[in-house]
Amino acid sequence: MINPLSQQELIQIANRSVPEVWRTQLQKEIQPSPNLNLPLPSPRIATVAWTCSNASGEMVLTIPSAGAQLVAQTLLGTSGNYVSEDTDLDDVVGELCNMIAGRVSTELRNRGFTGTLHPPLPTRALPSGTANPSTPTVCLTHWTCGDYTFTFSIDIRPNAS
Amino acid sequence: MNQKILSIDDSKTIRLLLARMFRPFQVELREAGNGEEGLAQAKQVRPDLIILDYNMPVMDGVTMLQHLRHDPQLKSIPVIMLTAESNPKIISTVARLGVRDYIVKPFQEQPLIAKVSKIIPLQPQVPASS
Repeated sequence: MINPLSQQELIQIANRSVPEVWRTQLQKEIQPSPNLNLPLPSPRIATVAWTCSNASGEMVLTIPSAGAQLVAQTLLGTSGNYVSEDTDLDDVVGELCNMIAGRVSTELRNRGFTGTLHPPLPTRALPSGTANPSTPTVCLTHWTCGDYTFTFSIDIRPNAS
Repeated sequence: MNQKILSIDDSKTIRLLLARMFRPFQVELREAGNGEEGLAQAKQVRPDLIILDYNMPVMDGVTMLQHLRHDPQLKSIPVIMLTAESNPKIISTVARLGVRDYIVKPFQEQPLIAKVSKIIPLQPQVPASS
């Protein structure tokens, strides 16, 4: 079976979905960023799995801890001070990934792939200076919001027959 | 008298966001991290409104809603779904279970407050006298 969608289609979906979440939920505009092939400092990584009858995959949001702190403060105002613990910062990134994944899932469904989202899973940050994990990612997008950059990837594969 | 809202979401971020949104109003906000906890809270608190996520560990929002609708004491509590999931089958299922509104994340504060205020009265907090 061929891949459900081309890389270009997935990039277009990501290019619509990621800015919409930042705009709607955070009232922030973000810009595509060039891939400088540099590791993000102290990355927070959240993964949302997506499954449908003939394909499955993951959507992954990777954002530096400092960026995640800024997101939390934007989202929660003074309540953003709560994000003092690792698990809390993971939750912020996980929820943002969940929102983007929901938007992506809608677009996939509109193309005939009705899937189910799974709760976001945090991935423990890699040691500083370590490159992001090398996965067979179909679509990787890079973004800038003010002082921080982040990435969002969509990896959709046909199920083994 | 404060209106009681029960927020059921596995994300602490969303629960805090809702707490911030309803702070200007006379609302007593209770929280639960999954459907099972939410059901227990609902039995204990008897909220005026439940804001419910779908995709949660332990017990998802649809299962929780089914339990709620089968409990004579709880079945009439109005529910708003607030979730990233927009699968029409799920929307159709929760509609049959009498959900009053379905909001897809990401969401904006004012439309959510407007939808809540159509279901329960939201009175502004009275400033503390000096």
